Amino acid sequence: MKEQDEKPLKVLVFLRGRFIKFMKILDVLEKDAILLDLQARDKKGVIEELVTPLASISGVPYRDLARVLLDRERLGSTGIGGGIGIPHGKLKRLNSLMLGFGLSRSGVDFESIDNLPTHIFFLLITPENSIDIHLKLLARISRILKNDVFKDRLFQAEDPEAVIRIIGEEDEVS
Amino acid sequence: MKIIIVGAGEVGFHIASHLTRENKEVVVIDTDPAAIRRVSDSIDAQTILGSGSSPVVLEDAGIREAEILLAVTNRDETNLVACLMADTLSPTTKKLARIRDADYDGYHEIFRDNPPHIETVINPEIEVVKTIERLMAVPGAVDVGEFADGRVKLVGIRLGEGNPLVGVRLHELGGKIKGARPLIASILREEQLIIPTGKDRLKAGDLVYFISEEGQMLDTLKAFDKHGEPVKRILIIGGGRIGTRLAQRLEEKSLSVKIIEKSADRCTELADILRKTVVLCGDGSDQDLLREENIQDVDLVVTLTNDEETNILASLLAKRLGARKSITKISKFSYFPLMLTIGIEQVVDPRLSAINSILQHIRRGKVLSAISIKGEEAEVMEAVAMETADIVGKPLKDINFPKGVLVTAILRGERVIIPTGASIVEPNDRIVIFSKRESISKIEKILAVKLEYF
Repeated sequence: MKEQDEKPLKVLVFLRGRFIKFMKILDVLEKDAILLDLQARDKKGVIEELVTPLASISGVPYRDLARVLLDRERLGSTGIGGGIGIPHGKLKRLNSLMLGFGLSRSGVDFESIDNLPTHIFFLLITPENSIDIHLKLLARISRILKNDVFKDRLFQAEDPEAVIRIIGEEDEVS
Repeated sequence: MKIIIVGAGEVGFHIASHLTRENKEVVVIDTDPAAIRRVSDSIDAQTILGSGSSPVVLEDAGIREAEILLAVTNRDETNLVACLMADTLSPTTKKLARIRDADYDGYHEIFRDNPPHIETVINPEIEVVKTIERLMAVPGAVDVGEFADGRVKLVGIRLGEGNPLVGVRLHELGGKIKGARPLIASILREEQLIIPTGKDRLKAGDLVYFISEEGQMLDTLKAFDKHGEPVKRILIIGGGRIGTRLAQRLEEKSLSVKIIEKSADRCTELADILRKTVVLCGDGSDQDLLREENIQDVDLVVTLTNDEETNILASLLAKRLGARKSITKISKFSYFPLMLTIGIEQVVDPRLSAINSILQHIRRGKVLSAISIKGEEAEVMEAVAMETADIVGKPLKDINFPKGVLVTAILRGERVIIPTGASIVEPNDRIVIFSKRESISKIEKILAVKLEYF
């Protein structure tokens, strides 16, 4: 990732009905969208599992959410190696971006570039226009995941509150 | 990637074997124990004896984990119900179905946008008619594939004994041929696929595949001693569904068409359906009938009965009696190597046509079409070069292509570029890539987008 991505995202973003100046991961991650014990072992299954809470939060049919992500995966896997998967996609008629988080204890075959199982998932669905800001969020997520201590702590998280706390601390530092 | 195939007939069997060779996880479902045995005996796929339209069987097969469902039994109804069940149980599984009845022709899009949400309806009969039309348009071709809406063609031609180019090394071709040197992608020699270098010599009997822009194709064919004569009078033997579709298409082009059909009842139906075509009731392998119908003046005989032996015999007979060209429908792969020996050049196979239209949907990346060449040793695909993919932004010679891979054309807007090592692919160009079968998964990686792609 480029140097400019290291800074906090000082961009005006319209989010959940209001404008905010700084976007942090926690601004968009809802507690209900955190899944700590993913059951699926394959790509399609894990994506369906991850979008289920987002479908009920957003009201967008789960089929549409899963389809967008699976179509994106067909163009190239978002399993970036090191046990991390960041499935993402864009969707028309979406009011604001959505973030989901999931942990798989046993690991998922996510066709990742290092061919190793994927354990930690960040899922990102964004409105069709406004790609730039989302690219920055994507860069930010993939950057903080380079920190192995952080990854380990996330993987040990017992409940959604812990996930939020751990991400919050990491997000604050940068 | 997990793929469930409903129907272990010729199409299902061959797609399953094609996919298992690429290490895909394949499950085949069929109600016929013999068909299932044939699969489990020769293919490394999981098999289930049962009906693919049963929700219980589909659950058993693991429909929820399946990325793609192919419903390719020989019954339209079974295929439709299998897709509907799959759509209910696992909405995000991509569904492809073989549907042949012409009554469904106008409803393919409706089935895509509404339940059962069939992504693509494959009609092998439509595909095979398209193949015949393509073969008609390219004189002397044994195999024709089209890319970029027909602007780029992949043409396979057989070099006969005494062809002026026999014995010529490929790098000498430029001197022998007027205009641009044709890009020879591969040679099929005695059933072996060769990716030739400049030093290789052409041999009699070679099936030479070259890539050509539409505008230059006829010149290139002339250089290979293949001369085009317009096809005006056509005789179709066999008035089944393919024969009827072909006759209808040819009527639109105002060509003179005759059709020979054995069954008197079917002839009455044909006379009803077809407007300008002359319908003859009789046996297509009857010499007297062929002579009566002035077979010596016929430009092209297409044999399309349901019996391939009849097709082979009728084609041979018609040519012996003076017909200029023949196209024969054959569905048994094991016959292909024989055809050249007995003098049958142009062969069409509905199953191969169906396989080609299915392949495109299984490939990763934004693949617009994929054509498996004769013998299935290699594939030619047209894909969009996506932003952030490895293939864009640097000279082709700096890209680490696996062995047996050739970028044969770059399509940029209206322009067709036949690339050199220095050519650079730009985002959103369409590219035509030739690849040996074993390198296809590596090609998929080169076409894959990076994380940053939205």
